[in-house]
Amino acid sequence: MSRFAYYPGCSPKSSTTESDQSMRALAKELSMELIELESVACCGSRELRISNPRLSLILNARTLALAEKDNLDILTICNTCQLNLQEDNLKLRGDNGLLKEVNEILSKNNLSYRGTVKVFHLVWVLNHYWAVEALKKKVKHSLGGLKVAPFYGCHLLRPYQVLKMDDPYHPVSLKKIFEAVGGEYVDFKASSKCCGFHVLMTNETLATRMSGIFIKEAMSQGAECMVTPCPLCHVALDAYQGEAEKEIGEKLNMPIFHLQQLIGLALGLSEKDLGLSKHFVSTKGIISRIIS
Amino acid sequence: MEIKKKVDVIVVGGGIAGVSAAIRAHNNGLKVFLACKGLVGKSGASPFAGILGGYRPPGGYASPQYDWFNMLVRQKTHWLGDQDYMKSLAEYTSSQYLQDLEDIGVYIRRKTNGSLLTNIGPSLITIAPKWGLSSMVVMEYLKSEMIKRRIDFTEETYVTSVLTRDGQVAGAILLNILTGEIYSVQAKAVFMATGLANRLCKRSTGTREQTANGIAMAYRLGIPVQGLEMQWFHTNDIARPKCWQRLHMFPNQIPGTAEVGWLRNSDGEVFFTQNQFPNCIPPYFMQCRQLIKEVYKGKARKDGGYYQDYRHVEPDVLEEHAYQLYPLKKLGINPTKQLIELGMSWHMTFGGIRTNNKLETEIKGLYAIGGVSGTYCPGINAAIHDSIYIERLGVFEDIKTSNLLNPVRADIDKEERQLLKLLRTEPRQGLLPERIKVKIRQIMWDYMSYNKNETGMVKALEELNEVKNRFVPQMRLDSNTRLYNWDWVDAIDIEDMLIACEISIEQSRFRKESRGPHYREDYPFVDNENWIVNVVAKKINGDMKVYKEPITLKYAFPEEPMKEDILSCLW
Amino acid sequence: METVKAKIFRFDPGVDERPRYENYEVPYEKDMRILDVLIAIGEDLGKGIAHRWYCGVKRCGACSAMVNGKPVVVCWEPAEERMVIEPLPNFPIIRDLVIDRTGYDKVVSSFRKFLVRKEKPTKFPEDITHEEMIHVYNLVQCTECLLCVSVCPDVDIGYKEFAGPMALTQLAKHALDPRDGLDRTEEMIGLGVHNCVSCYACVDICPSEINPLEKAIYPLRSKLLKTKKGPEAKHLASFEEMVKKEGMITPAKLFLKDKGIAALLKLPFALKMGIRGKIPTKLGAEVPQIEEIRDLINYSERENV
Repeated sequence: MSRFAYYPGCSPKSSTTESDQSMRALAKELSMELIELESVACCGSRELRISNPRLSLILNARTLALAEKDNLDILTICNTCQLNLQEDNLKLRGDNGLLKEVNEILSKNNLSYRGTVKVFHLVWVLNHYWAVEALKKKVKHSLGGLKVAPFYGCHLLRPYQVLKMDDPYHPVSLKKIFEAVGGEYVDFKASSKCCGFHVLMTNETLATRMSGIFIKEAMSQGAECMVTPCPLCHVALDAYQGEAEKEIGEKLNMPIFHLQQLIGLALGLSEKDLGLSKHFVSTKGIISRIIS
Repeated sequence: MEIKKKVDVIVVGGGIAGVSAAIRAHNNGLKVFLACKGLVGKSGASPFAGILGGYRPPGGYASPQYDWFNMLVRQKTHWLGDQDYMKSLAEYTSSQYLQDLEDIGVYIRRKTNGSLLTNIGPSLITIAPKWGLSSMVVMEYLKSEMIKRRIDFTEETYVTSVLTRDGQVAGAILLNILTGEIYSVQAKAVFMATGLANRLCKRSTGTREQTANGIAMAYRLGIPVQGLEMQWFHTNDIARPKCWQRLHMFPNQIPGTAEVGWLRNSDGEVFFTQNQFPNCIPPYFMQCRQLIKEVYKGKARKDGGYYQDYRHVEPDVLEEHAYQLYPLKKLGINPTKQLIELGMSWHMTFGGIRTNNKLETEIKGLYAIGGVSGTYCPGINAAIHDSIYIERLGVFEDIKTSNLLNPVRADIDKEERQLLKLLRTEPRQGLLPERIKVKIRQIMWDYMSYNKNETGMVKALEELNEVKNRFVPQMRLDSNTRLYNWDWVDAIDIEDMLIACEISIEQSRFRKESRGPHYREDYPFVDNENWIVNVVAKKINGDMKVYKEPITLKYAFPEEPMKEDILSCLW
Repeated sequence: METVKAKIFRFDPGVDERPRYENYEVPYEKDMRILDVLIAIGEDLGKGIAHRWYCGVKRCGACSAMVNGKPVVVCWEPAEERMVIEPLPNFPIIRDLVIDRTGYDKVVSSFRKFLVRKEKPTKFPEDITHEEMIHVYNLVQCTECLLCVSVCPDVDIGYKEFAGPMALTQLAKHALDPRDGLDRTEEMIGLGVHNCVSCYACVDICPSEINPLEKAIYPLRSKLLKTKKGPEAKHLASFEEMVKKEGMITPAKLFLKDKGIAALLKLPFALKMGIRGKIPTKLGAEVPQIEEIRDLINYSERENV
C-alpha cells in the first residue's frame, strides 16, 4: 500500500495549492509514492452530475482506466472527487452492459476499464492501512492536547450505501488520527454537516451562513482549530471565513488546517513545505504552540 | 360552542370512499367539508389494500366464474349482497374502474413492452405500481384531486356525533385532536365514510384510530346495523413485531408469474396455496378454513406457528415488486431463503350501516358509503363506485333541494358535556383508556377470532359487561390537557368499541349457521334455505334488538339449499 | 436484552414552563420496534405520552422522532436497550413527541401538488412505458415522514428559501411525470431547488430509499437547466463548457465566467486569493492530451444523438 495513482482534482492545483503541496510532503515522509495522473478530466463535481451525468461517468471511467493501465489504485485528497470516482466505479463494476457501452467509447482513446481499481481518500489510507501505532512512532511535535475539531465534509461519509466507510451520524475516522498525533478530538454536532461549498458560486449568502453557524458551533465546544480532509471545505471554511463572519455578524478567527498539514506538523515537517502561509485565517498561533 | 361552518355535506372519513365522494359532490356543485380522524389517505385501510383487481382483458374473463357479478354474489357476499347494487358494482369494476384510476394519474405498472403487468391468470390482478402499495398511491392521487379543487378538508379531527332534527341531518360535532377544540358544523347531509378496518381485536389490521365510530354513531341514532357477524380475518399477517401486525403477506398470484406463496404449518406441511384451489377468488375465506383445521390438529396457532413460503419464487421478482416484503430485511429475514411466521388478524367488517338502495339511512341526509355500509362487498372498487352510484341515483340533487336545518342546541350541549366528562384524571385507581382497550381486544381475540361458538360468545358478552360496568366508570386519563390528548380520544372510542363488539357477538349468536367469513363451530353448515337474510341490530327503547331482514334474490340463485360443513367448501 | 429503558422528552406547552425527561422501563419482546415501546408505556405502565402514529408499518409518515440523536421512523427501527426519545428538531412542539407540521403544509401548498394531464387518455391502458414512468415509480413511495427535512442543513440553519427535500420530492413526483402538462419552472425556482447543497444527508436517512437528491432534486435541476432560467443556469452551463473545452476546472476562471462584470465586486477577495498563490497565472490551462478527451466527448455525444 505505498504506490498510488494520484488524482488531486481541480482545487489542489489552484485554489488550495497548499493542499497538494502538503500531501506530497506527507507522502514523502510516509514513504508513499504518488504518481500523478496527468491527463485526467474533472470528476464531475456536482454541476456535471446534474447537467450531464453520462459525460461525467465517461470521464471518470477514463480516469479509472488510466490508473488501471499502470496497475495502480487511486488516491485522492478531495471528498467530492472520491465520491464521484467511487460511485461511478461501483456503477461500472455492477452493470456489465453499462461497462461494455462505456468501454466502446473509451476505445476511442485506446482505453478499456476492467473494474479492478480501488478509490481511496487519504483518510481511508490512514485509517485502514497505516497502523495508528506507526503514525504515533513518527511524531516529533505532539500536538500537546490541542483541541482540534473535525470537519469531515459530507462526501467523505455520505451516501453511506456507496462509501460504507464510517457512520455519518457518529463518525470516528478522524478521532484516531488526531489522537495519534497528540490532539484532543472535539466532538460537536455539526462535524459531519455541510460547509455549503457546492452553492458558493450561486448562493454565497447561504453557503457562508451555513459554514459560519457550524464553525461557531465548533467554537462553542472549545475548539482551538478545525481540520478538514477536503480542499473544497477548506475554501468554504478558510478563504470565505471573512464573508461568513459578516454573514452571521460575529468574529470567528478559527484556523482551518488541511488534514495532511496537521499530521505533517506533528511529524516535524516545515511550515514552508506544508504551505501554511497560504491560509486566510492565520495558523501562526497554533503552529508556534505545536513547535514549542 | 360555535357553529364553525355551514356546508351542504360533511364527509366523515378520509379514505377512498370519503375522498371520492367529496370530489364528486364538489363536482356537482355542493359545498363540501371533509373531516378525517387520522390522516387522509394514510389511515384506515388506505395504506394496505395492496393490489387492484378487476382487470378485464380485451378478450373477456377467462371463465364465467371470474365474472365479477358471479364472484360478488357467490363468494364475496355468499348470497347476502343486494343484487342490484352488485350488478352496478360488477359493471363498474369490469369496465370503468381501472380507467378512472389511470385518468387521475395512478400509474398501473407496465411491462417493458408497455402492456399492463399482471399475474398469469386466470383471475388478473394489476399493481400500482408495486405489490402491496397500490391503495396508497390511489389515495395520493385522490387526495391531490381534492387539493386541486380546493375542497375544504381537515385531518386529525374526530367527528363524535351526527346532529339531527326531526329525523333529518342538521350537522355534526367535531373534536380537533391537535388542539382539543370541540366545535360544530351545520350541514344538510353527512356521508359516513369511516371505513371498515376496525381495531376491535388483539391482532387487527386497522390503523390506530379505527374504532368503529361510524357504526356506533349510526347505531346511537337508531339506525340498524347489519352483518357484523361477517367479520373477515386475514391469515397472512406477520406474527411480529406487534406494530407490524397489519403487514400482509399477500397470497395472490405474484405479478408477472403464476406463482403464489404457500402456507406451511409447524410441521412444514403445505396446507394452502391459492393455485391449489382455483375457484377461490378471493382466497381469504379458504385460507381461514384451511388454517383453522391446522389449529384444531395442533399444527398451527392463531397467532403463530405457521408460515408463508416464498422460497420458490424468483428473488428478482420479489425484490422488484413486493413492497410488503421490504420490511423483512429489517428483521434479518430473507424471504427467498426463509419462512415468514404469520398470525391471524381481524380485518374488514363486511357488514355495516344498513341503508336503502340509495345508500341512505333512515335519517334523511345521512348516507353510508364505502366499507362502513352493510353491502358485504367492500373494496377499493366499491369505495369509488359508491359515489358514482349515488350520483346516478340523484343523491346530489336530493341534497341540493333539501333544507339546511338548525341543530338542536340541547344536543350540542349534551355531546360537549359528555366529551368533557371524559377529560378527567380521577379516580387515580382507575385505568387509562388504552388499558381498557387492551382488555376489550383481548376478549374479542379469545372468543371471536374466527371459530366462534355459543359458550364462548356468551362468555365474551359477560366479560365485556364487566369492562363496561367495572372498568369504564372508573376510567381516567393521565393528563387532562387539551393538546393532542390521545388518551381522551381513546376514552371517547371505548363506548363505540363496546357497541360494535356487542353487535358483532349478538349477530354471530343469532345467525345459527356458517356463511362466508362467519364460522361457528356449533353450526358449521351453510343453510341457504333459512339463512339468506340480513341479521340486523337496532337500538329500540334503549335496548339492542337483533332480528332478521329478508333478502330478495333477483338475478342469481343458489344451486344448493344446504352445505354440510363450511370447512369443506372449496372456495 | 430483558428490558428497554427509555428516557422520553415530556413537554406540555399549556402547563409546563420547560421540557423535562422522564424514565420508563418496559419488558423487551423479540423484534420489538421503538413504537412498540411507546405503546407499551401507555398500555402496560399507564402513562399517557403524546405521540403520533397511525399505520405502524412506515406508510403514514406520522410517527417520526429523534432517537439517540438520529431522526427515525419509530415503527420501523428496532428498540435499543437504552434510548433517548425526543421530538424531531426544527418543528414547533404541540406536546411531548408530537410536532406541528403546519409549516411544512404551508410549503407544499405553495405549489400545485397535483397532476394536470397534458391530455386525457383516449384508451385504457394508455400508451405509456415503464421507462417513462421511472421517476414516478420511485417517488410515489415517499410517505412524507419528515426525516429528510430533519437532517437537511439548509433547514437546520433556518434558511427559508429552500423548501427542503420532501417538498421537492413531492414536486418532482408531478414535474417529472411525462403526463404532466404544467410548466413548473416558476415552482422549481420558487422552492429554491438550486439551494440544495448536495450533502446527501437526505439520501442516507430516507427509510424508503428514494434518494431525494439524485432522483428528485437533480432531475429537477436538470429540467430547469433546459429552460435556461433560474439562478444556476449560467453556472451549470459554464461548468460543462469549461470541462468540455479544457478538461479540468479552474475555479477562478469559472467564477469570472459566471459573474462577468459582477466579479469586480469580489476584487478585494480575488486579490487576497492572488497573494496567497491561489489564482494560477495561466487562467484556464487545458489538461495534457486534451485532444484525446475532446475526441472522446465528441464521440460519446454523437452516439447519444
